[in-house]
Amino acid sequence: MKKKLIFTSFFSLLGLIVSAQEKKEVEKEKWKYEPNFMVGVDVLNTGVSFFSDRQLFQGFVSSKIKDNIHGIVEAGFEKNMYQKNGYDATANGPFFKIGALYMLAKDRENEFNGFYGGAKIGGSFYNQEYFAIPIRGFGGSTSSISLPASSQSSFWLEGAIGGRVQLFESNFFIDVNMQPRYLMVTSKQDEVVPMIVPGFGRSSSKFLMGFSWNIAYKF
Amino acid sequence: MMISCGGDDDICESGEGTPRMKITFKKGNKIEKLDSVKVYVDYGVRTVDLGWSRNADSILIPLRVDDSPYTEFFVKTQRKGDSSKVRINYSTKSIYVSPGCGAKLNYENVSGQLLKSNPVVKLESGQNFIQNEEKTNLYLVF
Repeated sequence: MKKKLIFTSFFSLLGLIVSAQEKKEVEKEKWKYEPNFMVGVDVLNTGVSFFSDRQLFQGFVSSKIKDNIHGIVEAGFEKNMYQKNGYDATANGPFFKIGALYMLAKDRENEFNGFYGGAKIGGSFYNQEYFAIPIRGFGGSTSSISLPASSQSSFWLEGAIGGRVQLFESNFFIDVNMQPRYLMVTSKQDEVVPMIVPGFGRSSSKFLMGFSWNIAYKF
Repeated sequence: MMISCGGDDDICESGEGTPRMKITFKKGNKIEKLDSVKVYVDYGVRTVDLGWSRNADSILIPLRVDDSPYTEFFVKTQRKGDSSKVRINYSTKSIYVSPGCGAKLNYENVSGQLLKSNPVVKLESGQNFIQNEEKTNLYLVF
């Protein structure tokens, strides 16, 4: 856990340094239109994957469509386990998100720099296995039931609040965003509510907040 | 990174878990309140003293939820008196409840067996399945 926190704060600090430097150099050429694509990889969650049971790899492709509106497609893979309160479960699989971002405030010199808000829908198609679902007893008597491995799918609504900052004068950007999520529908195995959904997170509650810290390259 | 809001520690509301067995006391032919009665239950891992019940005509006993096909308990009515030993045989059926509770058990084909009498004279059967805690599943006749 400590390693994870240090790792996270390192990225937060790096973000501050970069954005601080960014403010000084505002002398750039006027941005010319060209077919645009930005491809990003979530380095924070990839890094955290080395220290935790949760392995999450995700990235995005976004493109400016018109004025302040950018389209975005995200894809990723997550492998996770849930061992708590007598549960023992695993889930893994790919997930996809599609949506749009709206630049709320942008740099006049570079319209890819700025803050945005947006909305996406997400879907996950995964394999799960519940080795134990607890049966809580009295006087130290407990037991559990298990479910065989199965394929399930879940869909959710996701918001995006974040910002993008160009790294010096390169084509690299840092994209940091928060993702409030609401689980809309999920398939269930024998009526059992899934405890984890790849791409969504811990799904015993329908609402949760995700966070990603990306390094992106603009073509 | 994930920040989970609440849900993870979903509590299991009481009454949603595995139902307890209802045992009612009789003297002769009719249900009667006992001045005092004490029950110990053998849960396999350890025996738990459920304490003295005063002026009660019935008691709720949590049964075992492990793989054992029976639960045994001891009953006495006087501090220094003898204990009766009762075995409850059953089969179980597991039912999923919620993320917080997990699953619960319902008991079927419930029957009692008096392994040691005095102070209990005999057993009479009640509702032979346990899905809630409303009806008597076993009568202890003193």
